[in-house]
Amino acid sequence: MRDLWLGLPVMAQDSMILTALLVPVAVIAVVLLRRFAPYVMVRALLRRHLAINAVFVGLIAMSVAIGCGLIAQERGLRRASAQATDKFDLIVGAPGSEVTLLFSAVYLQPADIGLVDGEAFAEIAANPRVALAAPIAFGDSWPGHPAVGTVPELIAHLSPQLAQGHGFATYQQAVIGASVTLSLGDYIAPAHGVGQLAEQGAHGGHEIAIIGQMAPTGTPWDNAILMPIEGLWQVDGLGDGAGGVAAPLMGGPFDAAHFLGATAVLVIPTEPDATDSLRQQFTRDDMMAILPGAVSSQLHGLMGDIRGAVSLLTVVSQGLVAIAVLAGLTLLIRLFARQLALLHALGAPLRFVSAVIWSYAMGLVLLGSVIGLILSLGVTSALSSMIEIRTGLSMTADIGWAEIRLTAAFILAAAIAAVLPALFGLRGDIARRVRG
Amino acid sequence: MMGLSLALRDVSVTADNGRVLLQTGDVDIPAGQTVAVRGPSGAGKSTFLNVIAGLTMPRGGAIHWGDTAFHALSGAARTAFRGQYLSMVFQDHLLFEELGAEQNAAIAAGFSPRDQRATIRAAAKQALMTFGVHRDDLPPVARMSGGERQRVAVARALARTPDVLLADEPTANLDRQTADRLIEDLLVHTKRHNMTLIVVSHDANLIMAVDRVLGVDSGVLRDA
Repeated sequence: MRDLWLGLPVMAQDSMILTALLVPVAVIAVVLLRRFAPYVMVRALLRRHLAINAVFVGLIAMSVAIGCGLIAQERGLRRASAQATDKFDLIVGAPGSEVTLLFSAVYLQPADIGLVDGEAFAEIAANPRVALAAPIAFGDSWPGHPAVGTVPELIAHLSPQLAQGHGFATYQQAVIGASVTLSLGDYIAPAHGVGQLAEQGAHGGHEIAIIGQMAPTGTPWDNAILMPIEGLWQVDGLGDGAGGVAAPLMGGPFDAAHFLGATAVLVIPTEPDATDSLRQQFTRDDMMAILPGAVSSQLHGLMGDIRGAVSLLTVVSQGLVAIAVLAGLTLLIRLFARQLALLHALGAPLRFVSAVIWSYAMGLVLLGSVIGLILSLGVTSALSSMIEIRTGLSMTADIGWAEIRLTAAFILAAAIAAVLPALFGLRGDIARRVRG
Repeated sequence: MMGLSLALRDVSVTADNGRVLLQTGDVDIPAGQTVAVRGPSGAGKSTFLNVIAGLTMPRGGAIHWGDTAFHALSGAARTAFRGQYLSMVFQDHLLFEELGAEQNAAIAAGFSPRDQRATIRAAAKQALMTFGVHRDDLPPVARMSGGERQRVAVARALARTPDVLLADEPTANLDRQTADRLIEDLLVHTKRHNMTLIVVSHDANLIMAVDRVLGVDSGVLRDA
């Protein structure tokens, strides 16, 4: 049975779960509403306390929006970070923290880490199973954007087609990421350091021309300014990596003795199968190799517990809201007690009175849920753009099956619970209840 | 439709504190008879109406509507019986304020079988026309005058052409002319359909117009 279920396409599983959640709602509806037409009464109840009803719909909508928004956001974040590591098969850096290297090389977060020296780089580049070894050097910035020194091959790897302009041909040129708001032909003077520690003017005299822009990659690199690593060394007063020999070639090959160090080296193997053996090969005393995708999923795994706690909190708070809504509904039904007793006095069966209450409650719940789902799109896109601004990760906001399932489960719980007030609210002497 | 007879055998109703609210003794009302119940305020007239409608449970005694032992029915069966045979007009109208006159009068259509709904709506409309409260320019019942509201309430009771009509002070709040017209319409209607009419009233004109008058004093019911 379990195998049969697991063998089904995901789409079929999702639709079956959704059906299983909504069928009981339909069954309750049919049992209560069969052969009745309670809609005139339901409209009357909805109109009677319009403001209170609106507050209820708002409350339900907010609870659904926050619950669904959190789930969608978490998924979006996982997807975006997977996308961010996608192009980085293998990263080699100085020995230290794997996470710091990941944050630094993939997420371009400033970190104080050691450098890969010329000999190590030459060895990596010479390995026959390495198709591309691209050095990456950090440390400089232009307000809000990290300036990254690298080689033209890395740009070709990240953005096979440039969105505009062309690659750098001299050390004083740079290519910008898709989100950098500079224009071709602009000149910038990068500062040493990043963020508040950046020393403006420390590189006085070195102006860099923007001559190209990458297509969007959906990674923090969209936010970067890429310049020749030799140019970065020059800006930092370290030389050009060619040992002063005239007119060095752009992007190497580098003379090991004059290679001035890289924060990390992106390695693309000749074939995918080679990745892991390269990682083992490059993990030793003087360097460390990481698979960004694996470190990233390890991190997500570590955070899985926190995620579990957050999900539990989401469900608990959703449950609390549901209880609050139902308690409120019971109070609302008290407000309608006289009308409901009157229906009873006029000969309406208990099932009809229950159908009126249930339809009324479900009207509020369904309206609130739909508004909540729409709002959750707004919540996620707002959170997404906040995260995007802070990390450069490209987040897409959408509503997935998990959110629809959560909403359907909420509707089911409400549909079951909305039968209860009908049972408890309609007891006692009718004449007394009619008098109110 | 034949109307229903009512037989009361020593029905008693007491308050929570044990005070006797109503003591009927033995009373028989034949099917199709029109009966007025009169008595001072608080004497137990409304309690009488509520107990024969099944809205208040008696402490003891037997209530028979036709062949049905009404006092012995379960709550749901009592409600079903009320829905099928009895109609009520309440003292303070008790309308659904958000609805229009026609929706109020045809409220029973919502819980009646589909094939009866059109008939109920047509009868409601007809009754509203008879009582002069069927016009396009009428406001929702919440903004109608007391007289108009009372007539909507009566139209609601008649829309299902019940076998028995129970009415609590139907002419209170009406001016003399409207009250007299309502009395006439009510009696013509009940006689034409052979309904049993039991009406609680202080209105001398109404009391004069019915077949029989019962009196309630300090909870004790007897022929007046």
